[in-house]
Amino acid sequence: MTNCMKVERARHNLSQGDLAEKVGVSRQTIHAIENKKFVPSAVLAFKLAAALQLPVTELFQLEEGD
Amino acid sequence: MTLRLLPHYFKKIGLILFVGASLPDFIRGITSGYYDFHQASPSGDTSLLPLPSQTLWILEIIAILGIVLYAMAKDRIHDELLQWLRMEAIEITFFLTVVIVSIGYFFSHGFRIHPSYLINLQLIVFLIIYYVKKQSITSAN
Repeated sequence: MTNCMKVERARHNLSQGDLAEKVGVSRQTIHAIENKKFVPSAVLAFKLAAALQLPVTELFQLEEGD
Repeated sequence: MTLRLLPHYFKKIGLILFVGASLPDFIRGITSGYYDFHQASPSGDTSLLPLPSQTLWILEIIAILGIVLYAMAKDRIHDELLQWLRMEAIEITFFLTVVIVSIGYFFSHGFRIHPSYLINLQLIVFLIIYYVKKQSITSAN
């Protein structure tokens, strides 16, 4: 699964720490999601989408093979 | 699946219990090895810290309890990434210990493993794998 979290985070002028605090996870979790090392749960995906004011389907997209 | 874990402060309690209970056995191990190597003890006990076996057994249980508390305590910030890493570490630990014990059994008919060694093996392997996974996933790029 791919995502445009890094771009959207930059657009909202948020650091990884700021976004992590908003959704209640660690900065390392945001780093792992942005670098596609970790796929978040649906709950966290919705929280991230809400924090970045985007529909969840715009923030996360399925890749071939998913 | 949600893992039920202990609060973070149990890490400190577990560590204190483990170190405190392991220290006498650690000292015994070192001094016993030293005297075995250098001289034969007249009393037969080659340790500088002679303790009854019942005491050693209780200390061993306390040490295991300490490491269990440490392993089962939450990290300072506990979220779904760490939970996922924990589950992966448990999975790898299970297969690794099955492989290690199976190899011992397949190659030696009389192979026996003491319960405390098996528990310690599983807990220590789990802690190492969990630590390595945490470091690798959270390292910069």
